Amino acid sequence: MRTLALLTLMIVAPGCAEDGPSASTLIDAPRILAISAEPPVIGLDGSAEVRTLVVDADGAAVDAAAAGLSVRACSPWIALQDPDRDCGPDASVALVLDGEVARLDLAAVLARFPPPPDLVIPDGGGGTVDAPCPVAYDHVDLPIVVEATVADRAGELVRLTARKRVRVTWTPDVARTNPRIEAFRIDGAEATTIAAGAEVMLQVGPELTSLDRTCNGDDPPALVLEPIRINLFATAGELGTVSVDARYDPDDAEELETTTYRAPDDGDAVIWAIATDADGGTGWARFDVSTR
Amino acid sequence: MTTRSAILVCALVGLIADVGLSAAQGTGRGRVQGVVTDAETGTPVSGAIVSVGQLEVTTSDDGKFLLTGTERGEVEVVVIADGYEVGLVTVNGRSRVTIELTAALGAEIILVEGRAPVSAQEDTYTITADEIRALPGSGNDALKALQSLPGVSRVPLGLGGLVLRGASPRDSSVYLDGIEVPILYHFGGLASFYPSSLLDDIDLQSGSFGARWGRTQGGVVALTSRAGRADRWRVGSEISLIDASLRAEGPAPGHGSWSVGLRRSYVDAILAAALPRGEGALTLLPRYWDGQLRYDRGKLATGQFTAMVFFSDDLLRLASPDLQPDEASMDDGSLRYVSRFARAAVRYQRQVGDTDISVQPWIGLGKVAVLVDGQGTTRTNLPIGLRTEVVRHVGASELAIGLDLQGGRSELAALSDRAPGPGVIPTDGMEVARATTLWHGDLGAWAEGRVRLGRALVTPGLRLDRYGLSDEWVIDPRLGYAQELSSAATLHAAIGRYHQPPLFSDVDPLYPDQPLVASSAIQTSLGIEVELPAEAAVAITGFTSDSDKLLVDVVTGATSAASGGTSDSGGIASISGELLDDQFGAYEYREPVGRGRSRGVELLVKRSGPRWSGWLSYTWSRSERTGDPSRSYDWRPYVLDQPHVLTALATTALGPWQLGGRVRYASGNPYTPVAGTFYDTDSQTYQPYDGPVLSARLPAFFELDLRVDRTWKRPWGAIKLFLDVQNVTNRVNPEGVTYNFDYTEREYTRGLPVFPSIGVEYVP
Repeated sequence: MRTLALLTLMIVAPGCAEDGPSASTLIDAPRILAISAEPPVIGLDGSAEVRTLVVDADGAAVDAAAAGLSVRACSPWIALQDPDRDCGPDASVALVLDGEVARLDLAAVLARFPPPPDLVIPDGGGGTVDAPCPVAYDHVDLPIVVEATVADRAGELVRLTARKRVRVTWTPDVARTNPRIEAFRIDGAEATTIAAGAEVMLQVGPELTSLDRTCNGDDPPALVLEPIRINLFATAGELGTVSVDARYDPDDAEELETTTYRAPDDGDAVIWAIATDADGGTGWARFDVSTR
Repeated sequence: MTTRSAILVCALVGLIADVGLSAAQGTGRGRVQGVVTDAETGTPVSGAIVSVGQLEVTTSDDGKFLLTGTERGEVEVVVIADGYEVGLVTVNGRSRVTIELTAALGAEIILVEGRAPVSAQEDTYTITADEIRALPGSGNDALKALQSLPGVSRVPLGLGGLVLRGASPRDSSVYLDGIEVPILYHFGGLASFYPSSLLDDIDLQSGSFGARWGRTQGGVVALTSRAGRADRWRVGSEISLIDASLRAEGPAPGHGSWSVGLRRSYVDAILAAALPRGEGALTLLPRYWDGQLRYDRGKLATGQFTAMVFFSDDLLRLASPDLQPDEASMDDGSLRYVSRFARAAVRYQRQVGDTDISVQPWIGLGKVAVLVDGQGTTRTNLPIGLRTEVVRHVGASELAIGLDLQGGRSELAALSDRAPGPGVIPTDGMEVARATTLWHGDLGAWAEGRVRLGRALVTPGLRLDRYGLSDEWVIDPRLGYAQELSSAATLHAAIGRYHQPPLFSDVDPLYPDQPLVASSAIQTSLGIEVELPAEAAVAITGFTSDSDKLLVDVVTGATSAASGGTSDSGGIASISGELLDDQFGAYEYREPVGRGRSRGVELLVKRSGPRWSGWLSYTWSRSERTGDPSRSYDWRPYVLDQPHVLTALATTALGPWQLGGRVRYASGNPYTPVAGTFYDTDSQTYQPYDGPVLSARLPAFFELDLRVDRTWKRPWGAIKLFLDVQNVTNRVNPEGVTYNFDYTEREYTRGLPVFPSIGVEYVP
C-alpha cells in the first residue's frame, strides 16, 4: 500500500515544492545535524553514550551547555510521531548529561516502559549471528528525543527538536560500530582550498575499519563491507546532491563516492559530513574549505 | 385516394427520472428505447408520438425516444406522426428498436389533450448512454457523467471511484447486468471499463435502494448493456486522443444477435515515442484494453437466453530508455502496476403468465498487483456468482423473491513493509512476506413487494445474508413509500438497514486474530418531485446515513498530510487509499470500531425540451467519521467531505451542431495541517507532526467544461465529430498540499489543467 501511495505521489510529483539539494544542505541557521549512540546497538541490559552535533548559523559546533541541550528516552513500544505528544516529560526518561555525553541506561527505560504482555522474547534471544554472514537480528527501536535552543544570526532563540532511534536487541552477540569519516578530497587530492566560484568534485569516505561486515545478495552470499550513506552540509557554496550512497569494496579502498560542489564566490565554507548505516550507526566530521 | 385518419394525441408526460431525451416513465420494470425513422429516406422523424399502454412520449429532434416502466415481456408500441401511417410493432419489454413509418396519403388530424398519471417511483437517477455521450465534461464516458448528478462528490484529479452521499468508495457497488465489477475505470479515471456505445443506460441509486441489492451500505450503480441489433450487421468505431474502439453487431443463428467490442489505448505508445532521452528520464506508460462479447436469442414468452463475456486489462509501467533492467542501482525504475478482470455470464429469462423468471450464473478472474523490482503485492481472485429472481405480477402490484450468491477463491502474495500492529513493534524497513489463499462466499436471499394502494406505492423488502469471511448472518429490513400528492407532485420516503461484509483485502495473515465483522448503516430519505411547466421538473431529497463498525487505524493514529497521510489525515495519498481500499487494502492495522454519519439535501432542477435541455444539481452534505475510540470519540470530516457540490449543465442543438457547457463548483477536501517538525537524524530528513486532524480545508474547486458535436447523417449511418474540453479556463484548482524540505513553505498541488478530448465516432 505504501508503494501505491508513492505511485500516487509520483503522479502528482510536478506539484511538489521541493527546493533541490542546495536548500536542505545549506547551513544558514542553527540545526541539529546528527545524534550518535555508542554503541549503536545495545542489549536488553546494555547502555550507551549519546552525543549530539548541534551547529550554529555559521556551521560551528555548539556545546551542550551553550545549546541548553536536553535528552530524553521515549517508550520503544509506540510509533513516535509527535515528540511533545508521544514523548513529553511525563512520557519519557530524562538522560543525565555529563559534558557532551548523555548516558542511556536501558534498564531504567524498561522499568519506566515495560514491554507489552503480548511481546514474546524467545529464550536465548531471537535471530542468529553466524560467521561469516551476520543476519538480521530481532530488535526494537528506542526513540531518543533531543532538544536544543540556539540563537540565530539575529539573536533570536530557535528551539530545535531532533529524534534518533537506538536499536535494542535481545539477540546475543550483536556488535555494531559507528562509521567514522576519514577521507576528504577535492578533485581527487587532499586539499582545502578551492578557486572561488569553481565547481569541483568532492570525495568523502569512511575509515574502512569502522565499517561493519554484512552479506551481499549473492548465492552463496559473500561478506562485504556494509553500505553507508553520507549526508553533506555546507555553510556556503552549493552541493550537488543531498547525500551519497556508498558501498565499499575492501579490495578497492581508494574508490570513494563523489558529488559536485560549487565553491562560494568569496570567503570560507564549513562542510559537515554525516555518515549513517543501516543499524543506526552514526559518525561525523568537519572540513574547512577556503577560496582563493 | 383513400382518406386515412390519424389521431394525434398530445399528452404531457409524467414525472421522469431521465434527462435529455424525450422520455416517459411508468411503474413496470421494462424499457423500450429506440428511434423513429422515415421508411423511405431513413431520416429521423421528430415529434412523433410513441405510446405503450398508458405511457406516451414525443420523439426528439433526432427521432429518439425512451419509455421506462413498461411491462416486461412483449409489449405493443404505437407510433403516430403527422403525415405518416400509424406504426405498430411488438417488442420485448426491455429493448431498443428502430421503427420505420410509411408516408400517408392525406390525413385527418384529431387533437386530444390529456395528462398522463404521475407515477410513484423509487428515487433513482437514470441516464441513457446517448445522453451521457452528449454531456459536456464527460469526454464521451458513461461513468464520468455520474459526477454531474446530485449526491455524487467530486474525486480529485479526475480519479475514478464513486463517493455517494458521503460514503466511502468501498461502500458502494457497481453492477453490470447484475454482475458486480471490481473497478469502474481504467487507471482510476482515464476511461470507464465499459464503452458507452454498448450500454443502454445507467441507474444511480445513491442510497435507500431495495432488497435486490446487498453487501453494500452506500449506494448502487447499475449498468445495463444492450443487445446487438438483429436486423443486419453493423460496424462502428470511435477514435479519440487516448484510445480507439471498434464494435460490431448483427444477426445470430436462431433469430438472435451478436454484439462485440474491443478498445485499446495508445497513450503509452505516444508517450514512449516522445520519451525524453537523457540520464534519469523516467515516464509512466499506461496502457489499457477492454473487450465485450454478447449473444442474445429468444423471446421472454418462450425463454430468452443471453451469454456475455467482458474484460478489462490495465498495465502501468515506469520506463526509461537509458536504464538497464539488471542495473545494480537503488532506482532502476522497474515499477509495474497491473489491474485486470474478466467476467462471463449466461442469463435465462422467461415470462410465464404473470410470472417473470430470471437466472444468471457467472464466473470471473481478477488480478491486481504493484511490483517494484519484481517484488510487491499481488492479489488474484476467481469469483463465481449466481443471481436468480422470480417476480409475480398481481394487478398493479408485484412480489419478487431472489437469491444472490457470490464467492470464490482469493489469493494474496506480498513482500512489503509491515505496518505496525498489536504485538508488533514499530520499526522501519521491516519487510515481511505474506501469503494466504482463501475460499469464501456470501449468500443472500431477499423478498420485496411493490404494493399499489390507490395513489401510493409501498415497497417493503427483507434481505437475509450470510457472510463467509466473517461467519455472520445478517438481516436487512427495508421499506419504501411513494405517494402521488397531485398529478404533478410525488412524495418519496425510504428507510432501511444495509450490511456490508469485510473484504478479502481486509485480511492480513500476519494478524490472524484481527476481527472481521460486517459493517452496517441505517439510511433514510425523504423527498418530493414536482413537475413544472415548460417540460421542467424539480426534485428535493433529504437523506441520512448512520454507519457502524467501520474500519479505523488503531495503532499509528493520524499523521499529517505532508508525510503521505493515513486514512485520518486527508491529502491525495489518503484519498487514493480510499479509492483503492477494496483492491489493495490499507497499510494500517485496522479494527471495526469506527462510526460514520452523513446528512444532506439534494436538489435537481431539470428541463428537457426540443431546443435545449439541461439540469442544475446541488448537494449540501456533511460526512463525518470517528477514529479509534480509545484515542478520541470526536467526530471529524471524512477525507472526501464536500459540503457544497453544484453542477449546472445545458446542451442545445443548432442544426447539425450540438453545443454544451457544464459548470462545476465543489468545496475543497479537508486535510490535516502541519503543526511543527522535528529532524530525524537516522533518515536525515525533517518529519512533520500534526495540527488538529482534518481541521483545514483546501480552497474550493471550480471548472468550466465545453463540448461541441457535429453530426453528418447519411443513409448508411452517422459520423459524429466531438470536441470536449475540460477546464476551459485552465483554472488552477488545488488538489493537495506539498511542503519544502523543512515544512516552512507550503504550496498547493495543482489539479488537471485544460484537457481536450477530441474524437470521431461512426454510428451505423
